[in-house]
Amino acid sequence: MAYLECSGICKSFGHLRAVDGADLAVERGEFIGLLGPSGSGKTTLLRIVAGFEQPDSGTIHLDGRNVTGLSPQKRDMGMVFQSYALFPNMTAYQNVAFGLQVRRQGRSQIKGRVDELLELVGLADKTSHLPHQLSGGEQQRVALARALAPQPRVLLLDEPLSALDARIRLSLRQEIRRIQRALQITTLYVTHDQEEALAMSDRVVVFHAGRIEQFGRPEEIYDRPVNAFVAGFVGTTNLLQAEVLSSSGACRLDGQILDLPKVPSGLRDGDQLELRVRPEHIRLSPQPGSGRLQAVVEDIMFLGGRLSLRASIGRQVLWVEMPRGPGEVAPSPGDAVDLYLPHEVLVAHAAHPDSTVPAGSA
Amino acid sequence: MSVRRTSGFTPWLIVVLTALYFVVPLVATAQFSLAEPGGGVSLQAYAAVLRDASFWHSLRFSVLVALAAVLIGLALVVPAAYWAHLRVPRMRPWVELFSILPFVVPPIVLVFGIVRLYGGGVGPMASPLVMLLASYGVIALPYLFRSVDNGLRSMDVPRLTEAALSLGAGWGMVLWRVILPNLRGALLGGSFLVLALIMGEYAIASMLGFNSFGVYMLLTGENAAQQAAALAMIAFGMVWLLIGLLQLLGRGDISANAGAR
Ligand SMILES: Nc1ncnc2c1ncn2[C@@H]1O[C@H](COP(=O)(O)OP(=O)(O)OP(=O)(O)O)[C@@H](O)[C@H]1O
Ligand SMILES: [Mg+2]
Repeated sequence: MAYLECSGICKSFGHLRAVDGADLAVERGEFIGLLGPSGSGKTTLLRIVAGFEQPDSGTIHLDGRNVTGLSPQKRDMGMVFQSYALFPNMTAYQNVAFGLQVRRQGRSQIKGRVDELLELVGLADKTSHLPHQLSGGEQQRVALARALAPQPRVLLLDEPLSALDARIRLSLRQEIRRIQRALQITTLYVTHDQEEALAMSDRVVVFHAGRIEQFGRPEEIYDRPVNAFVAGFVGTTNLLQAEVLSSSGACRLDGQILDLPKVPSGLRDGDQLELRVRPEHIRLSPQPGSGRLQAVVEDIMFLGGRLSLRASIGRQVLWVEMPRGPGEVAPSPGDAVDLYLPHEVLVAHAAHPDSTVPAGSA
Repeated sequence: MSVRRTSGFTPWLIVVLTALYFVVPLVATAQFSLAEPGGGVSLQAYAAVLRDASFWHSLRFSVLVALAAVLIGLALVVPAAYWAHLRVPRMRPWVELFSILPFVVPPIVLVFGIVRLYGGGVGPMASPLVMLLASYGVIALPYLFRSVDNGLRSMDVPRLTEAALSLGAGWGMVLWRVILPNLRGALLGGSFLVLALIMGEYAIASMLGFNSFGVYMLLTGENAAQQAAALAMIAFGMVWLLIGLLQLLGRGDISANAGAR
């Protein structure tokens, strides 16, 4: 059994199924990113793990022990909130000390631990500041130190950085990860920022409408999304409709022929196929082992280090993103170009006849 | 929207009239309380009041009863308002409506109801003192609820509670160390208001046969006009003292900084 295991967690609010049968097995010391659109149930699952909500069904095991019915006080889990939730009447020091005082530790022991943690989050010089005398980033550091002080078995963070501005978000993100690694603490981290989830996590959980769509390493999630939702939600994905010409791999795409290394088994000639390809995997110059498609440039955007290009293949549109070398001349709208799609990054799925999934947008 | 410019005169007129409305009776009362029968100024009326044993007796009685009523009211209101904020925020308007009901019922009706209901019976509720405290507790509710509710609104009650719970604190600890310290200003404000209110309350106390401060003031007014004026000035001074105390104790109040969050 994994260190932290949620099995079959369901939670409804009225008619709404906020969490719908979530299974999650987390190893000790892992950093798990919970990613999903707004309202997909991330916070609800986190609150169930913390013990603030009771699931309608399902169990939570921590270190082999069933903690489903346990009150939050007894779960040994540290929680960090988006709104910091520091005790406004207490200084940074007192906030961090709170969890230790509750546990009736000795004064000198508490002082040692609080100083150590405030040092760890880089606030050793702000111990006597009240929360309203600290910046948002500093408040969140204190909140992190407070959650870590009683040495919880699991650290839970609910969008801890989303109230902060971009630059602080970036540096604090790295810092949280550094601290997590140093302490080897099992962590669940809720975010709706995919970059944050991919950059920080050992493994990522993708949520959608209360369900876990995919659970895997960031590269797995990005390179091999298991369904159209994950493909469209994590990063940008081009969806292309194609028709199978032969089960050996040839398919037709708006009148052009493209060879695939393999098509999903069970497909026959004439079946519809859906191809997914990331914009940055498409090249404008020949590559060994890639299929060529002729396209017309519709629009081109200069993004500093990169170029983003919208091209059409017949009636289908796809986005291409590429690095731009110094002085390189970019194609202009109306140009005919050859696009090279590497075979190994093409993901083919049998298209459902009724599914009309829009292509991912940039 | 355009703002109609009023001449500089009108606002001033309003200020002056308002000031007169408050100040004139006060000055007149003060003057009357200090006047000597033959002309001149003396503190005799004040001395008479302060020498009167029943002044001190009624004052002490009213202070104690008012304090008890505040404590009873707080014991009811704080947990209820806290729970409403934490668990049933959608019910808050109803709780609020319920809490202002005592406003609608005049004190005399309230005390009549209580006397009719419990007066003839036996047991603790039949004791006049218990009836007095119960009535005052009810009168205190709306004021205390208002201020406690305001105080709770200035903090994120559910998140603070959850943060404390996940750190291992029990409910008593959450209330005592997290919620109450942040309510200090609100609690003081509501309590002093109720204190001042009950100190001057007449209808209920006299109905139940108590010699409270309010009753004493009225009786003095009937018997000795000048001493009544002195008494009014003393009561006025006490209110200011309370307000001063409130300012002093409320300093460093956290809810005043809530906007910085
Ligand atoms: N206490 C509650 N009462 C009623 N509905 C709730 C409650 N808490 C959450 N919900 C609903 O459950 C669904 C899932 O909410 P949840 O907060 O878990 O989403 P989320 O993934 O955290 O979204 P976000 O990214 O916006 O924070 C939402 O539709 C929300 O409205
Ligand atoms: Mg959320």
